[in-house]
Amino acid sequence: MASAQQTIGSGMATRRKKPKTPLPKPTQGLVGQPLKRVEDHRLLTGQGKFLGDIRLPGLSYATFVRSPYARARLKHLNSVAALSLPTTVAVFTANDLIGLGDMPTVEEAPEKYPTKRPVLVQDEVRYLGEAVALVISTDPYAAEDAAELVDVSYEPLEPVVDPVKAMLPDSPRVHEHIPNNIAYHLKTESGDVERAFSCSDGVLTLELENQRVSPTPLEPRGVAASYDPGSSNLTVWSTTQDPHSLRGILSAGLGLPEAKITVIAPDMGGAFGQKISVYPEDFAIAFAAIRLRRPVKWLESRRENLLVGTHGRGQVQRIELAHTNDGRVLGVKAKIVSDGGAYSTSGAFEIPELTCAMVTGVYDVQDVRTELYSVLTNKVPQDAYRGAGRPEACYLIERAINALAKKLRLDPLEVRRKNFIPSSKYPYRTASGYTYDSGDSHLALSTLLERSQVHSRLTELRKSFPDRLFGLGFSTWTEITSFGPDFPQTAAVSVTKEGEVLVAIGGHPHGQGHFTSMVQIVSDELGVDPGSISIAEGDTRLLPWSSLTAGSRSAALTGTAVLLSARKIKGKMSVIAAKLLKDNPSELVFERGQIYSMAKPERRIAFKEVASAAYLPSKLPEGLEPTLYEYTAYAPSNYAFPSGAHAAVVEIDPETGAVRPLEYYAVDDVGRVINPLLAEGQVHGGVAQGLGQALLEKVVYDRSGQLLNAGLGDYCLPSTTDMPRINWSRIETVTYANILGVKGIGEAGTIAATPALVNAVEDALGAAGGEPLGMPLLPELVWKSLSSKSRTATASSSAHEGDRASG
Amino acid sequence: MYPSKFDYVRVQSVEEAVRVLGEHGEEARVLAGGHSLIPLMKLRVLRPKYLIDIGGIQGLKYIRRDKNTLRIGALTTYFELENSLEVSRTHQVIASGASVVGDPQVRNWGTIGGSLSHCDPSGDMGSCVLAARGLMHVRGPSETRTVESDNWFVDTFQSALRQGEILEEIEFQVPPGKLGGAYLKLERKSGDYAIVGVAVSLALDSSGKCSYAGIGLTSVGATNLRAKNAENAILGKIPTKEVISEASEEAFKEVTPSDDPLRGSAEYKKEMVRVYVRRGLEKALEAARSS
Ligand SMILES: Cc1cc2nc3c(=O)[nH]c(=O)nc-3n(C[C@H](O)[C@H](O)[C@H](O)COP(=O)(O)OP(=O)(O)OC[C@H]3O[C@@H](n4cnc5c(N)ncnc54)[C@H](O)[C@@H]3O)c2cc1C
Repeated sequence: MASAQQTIGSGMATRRKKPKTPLPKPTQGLVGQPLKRVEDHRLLTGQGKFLGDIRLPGLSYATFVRSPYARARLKHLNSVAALSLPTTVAVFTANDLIGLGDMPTVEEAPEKYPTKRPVLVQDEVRYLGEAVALVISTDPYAAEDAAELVDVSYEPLEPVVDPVKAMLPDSPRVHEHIPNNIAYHLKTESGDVERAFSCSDGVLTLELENQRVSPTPLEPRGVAASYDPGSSNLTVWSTTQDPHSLRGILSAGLGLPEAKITVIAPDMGGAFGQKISVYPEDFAIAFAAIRLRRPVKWLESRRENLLVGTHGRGQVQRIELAHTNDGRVLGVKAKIVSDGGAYSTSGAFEIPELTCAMVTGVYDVQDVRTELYSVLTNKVPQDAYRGAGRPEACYLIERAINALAKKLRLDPLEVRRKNFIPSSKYPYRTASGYTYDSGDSHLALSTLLERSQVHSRLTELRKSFPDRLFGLGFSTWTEITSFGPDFPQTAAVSVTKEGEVLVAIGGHPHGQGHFTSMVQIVSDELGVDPGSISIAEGDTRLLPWSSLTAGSRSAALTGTAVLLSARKIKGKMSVIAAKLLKDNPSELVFERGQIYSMAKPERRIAFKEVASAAYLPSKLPEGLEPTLYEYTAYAPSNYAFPSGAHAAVVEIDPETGAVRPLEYYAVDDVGRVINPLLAEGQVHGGVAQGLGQALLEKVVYDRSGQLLNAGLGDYCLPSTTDMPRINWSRIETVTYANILGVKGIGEAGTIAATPALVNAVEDALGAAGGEPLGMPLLPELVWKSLSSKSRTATASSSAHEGDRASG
Repeated sequence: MYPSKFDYVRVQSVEEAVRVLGEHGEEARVLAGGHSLIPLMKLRVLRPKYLIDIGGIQGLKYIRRDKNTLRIGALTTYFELENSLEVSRTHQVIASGASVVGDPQVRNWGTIGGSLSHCDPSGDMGSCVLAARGLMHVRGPSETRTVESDNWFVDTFQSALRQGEILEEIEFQVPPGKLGGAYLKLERKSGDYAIVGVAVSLALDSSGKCSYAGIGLTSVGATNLRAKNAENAILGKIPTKEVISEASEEAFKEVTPSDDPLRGSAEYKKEMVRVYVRRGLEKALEAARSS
């Protein structure tokens, strides 16, 4: 299984620096090499510049007064005492936000209700921690002091906490105009579902909960803003994955032209989807900076991040599989109740839509009905979390396939194989209308089994320790990446007179290592030393537009935009070099800082020389515009669909229910890999987060809507010592979704790991196991399942009806 | 996450600490490793006006054995306890307990004195000190006094320390016989606070009978507590499988934990006390027999 690792550290960077040989041989490119991250030295030596590092003359510090109730009427708010502190600069309440728009919501459509979401609460608090006032002081300590002096009284109201109960007629309403709190209802149907169900030998029904979790980036959120009244230019620094969208949304909210707004996203310590959407804090801080004519900064605390940073997942799921007795799935019905939180945000609706669209996973089934209820509750809005909608889909179908195998007493892998989309059927059009252009689940699974030898591993464990409980679980996953035609990713490449390459990219990397992979792409294309390439990003002035960094899309889309821009540069430089070399431009090779033609390699010219010629109009071929700058906006015509097979081996302590993940194997098909070291890192982090959801994480609300684990002492994140060893390797089927052939790796681990681990725990609990397991699999939950099993151990045959249980 | 305003004094001796503490009364707090106090100040749950940093008092950081007495200075860190041969030799339960507190950073900063003064029922060290029957030496403005571990854990976050007092030293007697101890902690993830923690300290006499038994429990009551009936069930007996099983049954019966919505229900915790007391006894016994 170590095939990917064997190439690591093969020293590509140093080899590149060898003195130039008189006759250059064709070199192996950097793409595909495990180059070490070029960003690390700066970050690891404390030279990163995060939001907390931003200092501006006259900077003042903001804090928000937040509701201690999940739902309440705001009765009265008095800021006199807070304003009396000499350190207080200002206190803003809803009434002070004159001219500031509301937060974005969805467009009205049949069965889709927009909601009005204020920046600061005017009358009704709708989630715990929703901001009622903004306090600005000369230092952050004083801001906290002043916030405590803001006198607020509330009339607590009965909150809506459970999304299923929220749909009952007697439930209170989060918004008066939304009946049964169903803010969005979407039904899809393809094929002949009723026929599939009536032709089947049986129906397996499974109800699960995919619990709400917090993305918990290492660095919480933050915003700073500064306004220049002379030019009426506003600069906003924000922890955002999507600087250009933030610029547009701020423009609409503030009534300031987009051209007057610069958004800068500084170095960022992770995001995982939580930093996609625009937050009330973004609006409030920008507004305050304009109003006060002085820069303002707000940094979120960890507690705030858990309370009011968007949460991911949060679905109550029901699936029905119409099946034959030998395990073929004929039809699928899925019903998703999504815990959308307090407002109709586009994220909260689109994410569970993706769950519905991807619910058939890697299986060949065309008769599919899905039904989505996005329900509003008194919780912080739901939004993306690594995988966003696809982990929920994968979890549902991968658990259901296992449940079906259990019901029919078949091997879960046999049921998978029986239903995989055969490789001959690619490109495969799914029931939901997507086209999987390539993939091979049979190959992924057989490769996984062969390389991991996981079955004999398990047999060996069980034999060596007969009185211990071991389990093996699988998931065969796919997802959708490379969104999409309406989300162009942009890049510009320029070359200075000195031959240095400058690359500007859109979106905003926040830990993935984009600098490294983009350097690899450009270095190969232009044949220059990686050290001569600089990357700029995270500033809306660099490029006219770009979409976000999310959804495993940057290698594919930003990478392609970078490659196409570099190609344009190469084309132009070829024309210049051809003139200087008196050669044909199409024959030229760019390599090791030299340009030459294959036919006459001894006649060559330095890249640098051609670059400086580009700046001298007199040296240029006629009609060629001087300087070297090329821009590309790339929007793919199709999505990409990475896939793979994962396996987890776990041990359960039969007396306590404690789960110990022992080993983890994965074989993924993510298309072409630019940097295997970075790719494997993405899998490791992804698996950790998938494991977190399976075993440890959940935001726990009590009945009054209080969050019981709003701190990392209580919210349970996995640490390195909780992780099994991860053995990752790859297969590759060719995609034409983009010219790089990249499918995307950012979310694979998170998507696949959760069902693999839960399936493994179910396997360890044994064939006579009780009801389907919920998540997270904390010791008590597993222990209960074990003890209910031992109570019913004698009535063993009835246990197979366990699939039909409530989530 | 910004504490309210406070003044900070760093003192050089216990005498000075007690004097400054006396001057500022209830508004002052002692700062040791800061790993409980500072998080609470950042949440503004605690808002002392004066912080008296005792971290620089050299005289409070020691592990000393004189004859049958082991003395541990209040400022000794978990890391030092975990790695001290002196501690492991006679009071393995203390070293074992210290090794599973939080993560390496916490163990490098947190002190035994801080943990005992903080008196968190989910603190690990309290159970270990109960099992080893420590004596707390305390200095106040006018007197010094000694508090037995049985009287130390008054209530949740409330030790026997009185206003103006500082914990200086924890003293342990070395029981005769073959010694063994263990601290076992059931946790959601490594470094988490215990779902249930069990501290066991045993001595066996030459006939193999149990001549000393100390069992402390974490996270199953308002304070760290002793499983006295379980101790009695094993004391004076040869700890056979049956005896151990009886003792764990006693422990199961004598605890009345409450529900914790994050870490486990009362029912579960109670069951886990039974499992963990048995395992703790087995482990301590194994250590004693091989000592
Ligand atoms: C991330 C994290 C994880 C943790 N995990 C665990 C865990 O798994 N198990 C566990 O048991 N604990 C855990 N803790 C708590 C940790 O053990 C604390 O260090 C310990 O509780 C307090 O010791 P301290 O020296 O840091 O005391 P401080 O925080 O400095 O003080 C704590 C209290 O005791 C008082 N005090 C301190 N020393 C004295 C003294 N000599 N005399 C009188 N009063 C004094 C202080 O005034 C204060 O009220 C964790 C803490 C953190 C931050």
